[in-house]
Amino acid sequence: MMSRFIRATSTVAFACALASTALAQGTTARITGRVTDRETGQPVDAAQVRIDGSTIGAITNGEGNYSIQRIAPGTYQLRLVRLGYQSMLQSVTVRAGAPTTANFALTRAPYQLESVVTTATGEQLTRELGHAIAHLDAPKVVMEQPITNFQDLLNGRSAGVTLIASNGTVGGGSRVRIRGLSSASLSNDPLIIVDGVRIEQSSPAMVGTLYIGGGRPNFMNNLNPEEIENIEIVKGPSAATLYGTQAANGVIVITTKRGRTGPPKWNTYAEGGISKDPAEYPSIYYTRGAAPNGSLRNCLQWQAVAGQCTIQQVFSRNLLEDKETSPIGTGQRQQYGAQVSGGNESIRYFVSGDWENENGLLRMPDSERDSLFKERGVDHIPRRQQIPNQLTKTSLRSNLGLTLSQTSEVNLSSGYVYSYNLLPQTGDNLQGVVGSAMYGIPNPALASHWGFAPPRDGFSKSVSRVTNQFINSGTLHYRPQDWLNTRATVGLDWMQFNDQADVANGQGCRICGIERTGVRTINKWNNLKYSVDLNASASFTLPWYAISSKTAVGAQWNRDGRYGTLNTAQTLPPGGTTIDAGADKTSGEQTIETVSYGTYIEQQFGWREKLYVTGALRRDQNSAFGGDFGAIVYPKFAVSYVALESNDAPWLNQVRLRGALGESGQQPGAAAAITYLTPTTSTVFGLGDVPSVTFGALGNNNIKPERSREIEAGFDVTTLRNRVSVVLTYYDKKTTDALINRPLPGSLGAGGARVENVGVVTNKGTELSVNARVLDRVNLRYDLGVEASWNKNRLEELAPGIPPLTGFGFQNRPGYPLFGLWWPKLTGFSDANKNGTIEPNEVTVTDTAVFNGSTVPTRTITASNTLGLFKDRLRLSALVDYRGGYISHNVNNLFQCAFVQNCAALHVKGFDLEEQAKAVAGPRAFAAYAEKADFVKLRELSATYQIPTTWLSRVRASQASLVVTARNLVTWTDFNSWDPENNTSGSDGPNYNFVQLAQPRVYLVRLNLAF
Amino acid sequence: MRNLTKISHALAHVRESLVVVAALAATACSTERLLDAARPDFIDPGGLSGNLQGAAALYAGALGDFAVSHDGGLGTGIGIGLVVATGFMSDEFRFGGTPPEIREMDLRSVRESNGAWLQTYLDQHRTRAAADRAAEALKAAVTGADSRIGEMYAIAAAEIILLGEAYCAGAPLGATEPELIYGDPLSTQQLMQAAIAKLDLAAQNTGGSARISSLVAVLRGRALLNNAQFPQAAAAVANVPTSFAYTTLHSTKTERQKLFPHNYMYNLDSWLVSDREGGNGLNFATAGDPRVPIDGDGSPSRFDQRTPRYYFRKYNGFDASVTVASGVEARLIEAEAALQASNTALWMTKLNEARAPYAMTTVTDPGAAAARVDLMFRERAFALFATAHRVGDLRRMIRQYSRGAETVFPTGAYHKDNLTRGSDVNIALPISEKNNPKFTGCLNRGA
Repeated sequence: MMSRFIRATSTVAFACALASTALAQGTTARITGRVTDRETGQPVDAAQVRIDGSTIGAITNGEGNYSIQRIAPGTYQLRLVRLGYQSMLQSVTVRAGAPTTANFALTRAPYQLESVVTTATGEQLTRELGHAIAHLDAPKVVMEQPITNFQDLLNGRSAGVTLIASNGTVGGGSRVRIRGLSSASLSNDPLIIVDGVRIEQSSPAMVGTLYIGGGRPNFMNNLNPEEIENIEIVKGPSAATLYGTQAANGVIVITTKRGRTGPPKWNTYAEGGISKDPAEYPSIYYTRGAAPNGSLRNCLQWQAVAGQCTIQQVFSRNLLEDKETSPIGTGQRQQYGAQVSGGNESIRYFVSGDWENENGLLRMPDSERDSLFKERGVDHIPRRQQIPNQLTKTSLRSNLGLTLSQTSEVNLSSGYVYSYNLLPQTGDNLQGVVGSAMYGIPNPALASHWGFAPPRDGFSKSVSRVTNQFINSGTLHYRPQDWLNTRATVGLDWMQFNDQADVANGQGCRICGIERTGVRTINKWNNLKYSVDLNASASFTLPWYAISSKTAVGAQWNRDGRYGTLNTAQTLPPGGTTIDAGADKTSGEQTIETVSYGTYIEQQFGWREKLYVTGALRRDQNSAFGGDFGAIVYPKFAVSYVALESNDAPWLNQVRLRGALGESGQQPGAAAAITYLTPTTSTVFGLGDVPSVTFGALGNNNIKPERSREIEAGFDVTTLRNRVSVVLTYYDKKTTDALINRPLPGSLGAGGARVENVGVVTNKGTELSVNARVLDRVNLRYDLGVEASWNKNRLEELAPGIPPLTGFGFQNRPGYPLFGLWWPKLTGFSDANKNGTIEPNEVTVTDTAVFNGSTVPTRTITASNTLGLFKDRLRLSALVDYRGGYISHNVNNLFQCAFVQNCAALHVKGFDLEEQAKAVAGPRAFAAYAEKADFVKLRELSATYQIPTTWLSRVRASQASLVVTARNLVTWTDFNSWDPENNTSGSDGPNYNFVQLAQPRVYLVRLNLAF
Repeated sequence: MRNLTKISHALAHVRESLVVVAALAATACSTERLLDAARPDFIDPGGLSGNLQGAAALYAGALGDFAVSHDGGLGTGIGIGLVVATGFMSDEFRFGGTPPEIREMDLRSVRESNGAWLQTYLDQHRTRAAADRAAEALKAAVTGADSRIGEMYAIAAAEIILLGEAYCAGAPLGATEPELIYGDPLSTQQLMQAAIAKLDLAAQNTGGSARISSLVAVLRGRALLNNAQFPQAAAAVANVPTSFAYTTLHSTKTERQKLFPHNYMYNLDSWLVSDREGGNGLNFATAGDPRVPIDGDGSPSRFDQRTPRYYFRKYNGFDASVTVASGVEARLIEAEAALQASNTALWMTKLNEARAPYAMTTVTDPGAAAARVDLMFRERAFALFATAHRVGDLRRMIRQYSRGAETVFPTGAYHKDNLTRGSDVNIALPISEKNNPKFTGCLNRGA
């Protein structure tokens, strides 16, 4: 019934749109004007002029001019919004057939709560919204901060948005988590929308011959930060209801740059820099001792004390710090780009091109290279083996805005990215170079002190990803009546990526299966995400009590598909590099498709531009829902009240109270509803290899989406003549029908698990944003910004009879956070015999796994500081990032002490007793190394100098700036290893910090030139 | 610029068409068509019923599943397999790697939440269900006798026997067809009886195949032996020729078909032949017994740099086979029955018949009762090495011959990591089995 209603409403809206076209001709006028800075008289560009209470508006061009077409006669309130200025409201009267002029002179204001944001129904003023929405001014950040990829742009800039890195390699991606983890079995990734098109961010796992030790690139980083105009982050279901069944984890709405009317404006930039490893690696030890029978053996301190051996000599090395052996060097980065934008009233354009290249920290040490020369009888080794971590990326974008008539406009957006990413062997990996150095034995009697695979072998395996991605969309805006706006967006994110692994015969790791006989893998993937988004909004001002009404109806259809052909060949002949060359070949194919279709209706009433009440419903159907489940309806209700608005008041300038209640969901996996068999090959006596089928999975025909309901409430305040803004939000999100990969009793014979709606997960928290202009003098300006968040995540319940869900070091158990760390722990130690050595019988540990803490930060605080000197000609800024309330499993040290037993705590007499206790307890109590991971990082530091225009005349530039920046400069932490941010697996669970490269220190110099 | 303006005028005419199309897309299409998603990777089980090709595919798939669950490898996940797991749990193999969850087996201290073990348990039941499904499909599709039907029932029975031998008592036998059927926890004896019932079905459907008849006979003998029905066990295998062998089959065609223990041993140094492990263990690595041919010189594992490297040469290849049932095992069953009956002459005869295929010298009666039992189980240990028999045998030594657990299983200090072995004599049933409302845990952890 609801579906019919919404469908009918959509039809009526569009029919109205068409029918009214002719009627509208000849009875309207246009409003034009110019916007200037009151203080300087200079034009203000990018100011948004809107007819209050409607969706009708325009943006000023470089000359500060704007034009709003086809306005019916009447009196309107024009609202002007521009970052850095007070918003203004001005009354204009429009007469039929006569142009109306409305000019604005804007007053500067450091902070304004008002902005125009993109929502599911179109652009809206923030005052209309009942929820908080984060807005990032991407061009400013990119121009002045050390941003090397899209995720750098997000990191630390919005309360409640946490990036969790796997490692510090070039191309190594992070997970983005907004307001905690909601799902125990499904993705917790937010939805990403670029110019109206949903885009792919999740990468297939790098497994099998593609394994790189954990982590995986994130396709989000294909987006070029240089092309982005702004980013809006919709943080939870209370705000994301109208995005439907993929939006429970929040939505990141990205708008790329657009051309504006005016002559061509060129922006060019060049950037170069280096990266360094900030980590300090521990040494490795070997103690030569004699056993009672006289034979030589490794003799630990406690073993000597226990009489098991007699110490002769302690040896130590540090293969990662020794310049002769270290595979860690200096990375390099360079980036160049040019952008041009401009146009006239008919056509506006933005075109950009960008090329970047980055080499990571790893390189083949000279000594290892020389060994390879001898081993292979060559005098050259391939560059990919010498520098095993590289990224080359080319980005092109062309955005066109076409004014078709006074009432219609088309925006065409087209972006292309090519990237080649060579991913190194690190992490939880026999070929991982950090692990090989950390877990070797410095016994002088051994030929090699590397553990597992030394760099000459590990680097001989190349794993790469080559990506081609087109993100295309077209949006038709059509305003048949001054009260009716329609929008239709059609888009496609098309991405082809090849994951490749190459090991030549006779090269590579010697204890990694048969890889040394040669490997060639090429997995070709096509990823297609289609988006169709239709919307119609009708705005009226009702004649009673200054009530405005806005009704929006819409429909969205999304088809997501991933199609792969997977090929691996092993045992290649010398010189063989292709699949054909392999003696053993395997191949496969994968198709994953989901389709969703949703419709919505939203009704908003406004009163005197102060009070806004919004109600909405969204109805979704999805191909992944069970056959016995039809559709789901998500409701939304929001209130926003502008309690005070007085830009000239000395103390309190703006106060807005807001609250929202909304729901959205998360779709099940594509095949979760069906029982199926999978084809395979089996060997049969007398027949050999024959086609066969095996049981795939037991489907759940009742499956439905996870349903997340969130209530959020808060206030926005600006004070002290708009010098301080405070945004505070409390949220309470409850995910019911949580899709849990419920373990099946093995005895059913149906495999390990079936997805069922059997859990309840909650996330509660507070977010605080404070921005203050602390100093505001002509030659000295100081801005302080703080983004802080607190989150409490709990799995509240599982359906009766379901035992806790367990995995490697994690449990999802009611009453505890999702994916917390669970291992037996060290409960005490005592040097009872006072010999300065902790022996195994002097520690106590738990018999069973116990909860050790959340593996996701529960507290984040980011402080950004900007100092403007000499009329802002020189700007110095620093971003300090704190994360706390979580633990990281320091497997770097656990593995060294508990398994390889080459750590200082076991070999150095008189070492710290607690570390000794952890080392001897480690084999039984892995959580001895579950360590508080709270840290403070000096994440960004930059100096931007605006070059005087008089200096630029020779190059005919209009603006130029020189920027010197650094990233990840200092880390303060009690964590007992090199980077508490690292999370080796790159997934929500399991969580462990294991021999990954640290986030590198990056130093960049950048020149921005505008013509 | 003028041209661009013309283009924009032209586009204006397209405008209304676009709106119409969009409106139609939103309203006119049926949602069924809008939501149509391709699923070519999946085969509908209903599509295979009632035809011989479908039944043959199910049959072949069940054999592949059995190879995975028995020997380990890539099924729906990577399972360690019963051959490897029971090798660790017993004195056959030592762990030369580092992942702690697998090490638990070698330490005889396996938690019910051990994820590394879970996959093999799942694979076993999947195989059992797949074999039953294939047997039923074959019965429906073929018109005459067909040995594949008997073979499938025998495979299902083999999995049940292995469940009883390797795990603590209490493994249920459930099903998903025609609906979810949760099984009751079964004692080891009940599991063997359930296996024998399957073997009865198998025996009725051998299609005249001597190979399948022998397989059924040896499995029946093994089940009966577990239930201490020695004369019946001997009778069951009496007609099995000594040269008979039923093996799992492997190939390099796909990852799933590759012999997992080969990689785990020769390439990863993680699964290494033991030698007098934990005091009670036999000298598999150094005995020079032709039934346990050894590669490697005892130098440290390249993985953990501590465990001596000895490889079992029979598994030196991804396409090597693993014996499930054999005529040698039949002779050893007869021998044990003779020993139980105090017929030492026959016992010696049968033991030496079992050694004959290896051209080994004959053994002689050691005389003392305990020594005879030791010899009996030593012969079984070497003849059935790395075929998932050893844990069952060690448990039988405790259960049927009154040996102490710590006199037969490896015990005491572990060879690395400052650890001491636990006291498990079997593997705990995985925690996920508790999703079965009839199951609360192992009935007991004893032998």
